Amino acid sequence: MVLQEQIHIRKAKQGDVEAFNLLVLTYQDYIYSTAYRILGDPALADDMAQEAFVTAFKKLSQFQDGSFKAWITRITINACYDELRRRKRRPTDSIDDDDYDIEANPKLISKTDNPENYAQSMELRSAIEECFRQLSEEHRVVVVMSDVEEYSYEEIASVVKISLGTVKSRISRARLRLRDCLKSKGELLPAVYRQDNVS
Amino acid sequence: MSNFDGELLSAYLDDELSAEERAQLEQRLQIDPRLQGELAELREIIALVQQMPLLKAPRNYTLSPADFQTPRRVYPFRAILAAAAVVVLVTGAVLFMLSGQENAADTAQEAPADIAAAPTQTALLSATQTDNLSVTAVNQATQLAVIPSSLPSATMSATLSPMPTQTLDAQREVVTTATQETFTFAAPAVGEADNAAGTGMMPMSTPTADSFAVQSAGAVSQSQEVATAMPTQLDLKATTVIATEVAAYAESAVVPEEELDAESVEEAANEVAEMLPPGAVADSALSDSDLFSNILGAIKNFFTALFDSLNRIFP
Repeated sequence: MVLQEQIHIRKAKQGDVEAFNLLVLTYQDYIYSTAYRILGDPALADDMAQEAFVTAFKKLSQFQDGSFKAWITRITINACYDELRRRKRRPTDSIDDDDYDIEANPKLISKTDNPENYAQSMELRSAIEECFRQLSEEHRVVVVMSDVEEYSYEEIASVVKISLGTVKSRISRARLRLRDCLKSKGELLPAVYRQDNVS
Repeated sequence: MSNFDGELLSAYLDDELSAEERAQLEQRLQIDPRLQGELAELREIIALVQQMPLLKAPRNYTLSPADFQTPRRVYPFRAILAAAAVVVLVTGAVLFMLSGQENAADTAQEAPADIAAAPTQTALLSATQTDNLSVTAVNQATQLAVIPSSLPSATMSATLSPMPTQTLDAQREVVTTATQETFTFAAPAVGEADNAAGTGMMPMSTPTADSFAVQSAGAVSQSQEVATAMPTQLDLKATTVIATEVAAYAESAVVPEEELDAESVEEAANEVAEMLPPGAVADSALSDSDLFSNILGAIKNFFTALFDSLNRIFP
């Protein structure tokens, strides 16, 4: 798998678009998911995912060794963060509006065969997604980078261009808000939250 | 949970605390069940975030080859440039070969003079440095052996127009004779130098040393005449063979037998072997036809690679 990926990368570096497209097909769900987590908007995440792959192909000569997945994820996060900053300068484009359409939610890839478990996981998923979406943009970015991509605080500070202390406080506040949000939906959550909600 | 504790617990889970902060927090955790509960909650939040399922991309993000494939366009001026480059390369190669032959003639006139002069210097030195006779003679002979490595054009020229064997033999005979004469003249000077060392006189002021210098000059002149008569026939092989013979003769002719021991001779021989240009002796073992084939092979490979490159650029 890794060897095959290296062959695709080498061919893509020589301008082989078809070889690059094999990489796209491998990572497009992951890249879209990352963009969606950060932006909270399906249409915008779609745009950013496409932009990330185009940028990756154009800058592929800069990719040396290491994980292609980590490299293209970094491009995606940068693209999303740049978009958020651009929208911050133009508040009318804000995506944190109230007309969030639950039906437009992206489709879940992994499903369980057990209908009961599936229903529970769907409820839990909806709760987490909703709580995550209620976070501010700046909190979503740091939580995705820290908890999903497992970046260090120093790496996050470098990408988001904030101090280490700010990174630390943003991550902490984001997690506490998620916790409070999930507690408010106690019936849907694991035992630890239901018990806490009851007491 | 206070903001401060929240940051501490969050950074603790991310392994971003200093050793001191970590130790203090772990001490508090051991005695504070509420803090332990808050830590467990945060740990659960992180796990839930990490377990958020992968989402299906609404479409494929594959790129269209038509939009990103660099079209291969043939530029007429590139073809012209490539043709011009080929012409320049071929012309340059021919001129280089021709000039190599001319240079070989020029250097051949100078090299025999150096070869003849070097034993003369050896003899002069031997008159004043009787304690280091073997080393001096070997060093001078080694210089002779090194001379051919500075004559690549002579080598190429000689290779392209192979030298008759009898020419090499005649050259070897003339230079060896001149060297023998030089050392014959040097022998009395060695005795004079010994005497001078005993009396405190400078060896070069003795009549024997003066006459030796005059006769050595005659030997040099003779070598130069021979070299002028055969200007294009000195090559790496000939010079290396002659230099090796001169080195052997210098060891046997100049150094008195009673001053030689097996160890010093071996050391001197090793010194000569180390200072000879790498492959010089091996080159001399190659036949002229082999060398000629090698050169032709290299030229053929060069043009093959050139045409391959041009084919790739202009398919």
